[in-house]
Amino acid sequence: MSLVLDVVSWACIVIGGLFCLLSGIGLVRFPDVFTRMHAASLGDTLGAGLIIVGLLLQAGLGADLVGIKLVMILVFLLFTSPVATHALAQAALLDGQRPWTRDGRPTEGKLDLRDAADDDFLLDDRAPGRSAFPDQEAER
Amino acid sequence: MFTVASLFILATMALALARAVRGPSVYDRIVAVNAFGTMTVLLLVLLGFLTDRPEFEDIALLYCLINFAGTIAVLKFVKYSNLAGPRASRQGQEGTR
Repeated sequence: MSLVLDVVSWACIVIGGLFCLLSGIGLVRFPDVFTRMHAASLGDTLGAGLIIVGLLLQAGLGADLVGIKLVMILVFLLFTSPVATHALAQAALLDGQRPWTRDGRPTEGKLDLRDAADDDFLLDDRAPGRSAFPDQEAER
Repeated sequence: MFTVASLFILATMALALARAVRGPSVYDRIVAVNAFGTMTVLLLVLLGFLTDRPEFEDIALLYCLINFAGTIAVLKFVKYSNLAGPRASRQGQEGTR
């Protein structure tokens, strides 16, 4: 039984490390900020999750708080990582970073959200003409 | 096994650092530094198990919170040019838009 636990936890730790490595490679290789955010979130969720679950299987929820602290680290990571990524994506988009669209590399220069024709790719297909940033439209 | 995962994470930290140095926009750098901080937390936890010193977990827990607060603070600074928020910056930049 102990051997089975060891093998499972080792597999979790090594696979988690591999996911972290994948997120690092994606961080270097991907073309724009938003895809790089996508790569970074891979390490924040699957990488951290698998490593901490593997360490939990090693430590157990003992009386010496080791397991409890591991669970707390995992919970903090799972709460803070999406919040940070969301804030970062919003800040980057409002600053005018152009997302990479399916047509390939977007045109150079900053995205101007005041120009109605410039943010066509942000519009919802189901409701043409509706802006992705209605509160900003109202503010102007 | 802890050593293997630690080496993976060290490689990831090197890649994130490369992106933080190269990254064309400031947001690329923030993404890279945020990922670097997460990898630091994992490395601290793994080092605690590797050297059999559970105190490292407290440091990792603290670093987790500092990383989040730091990312949000830098983002706020980049977005509004101060740390107080949108209202304070709007007074200063009223005529610029």
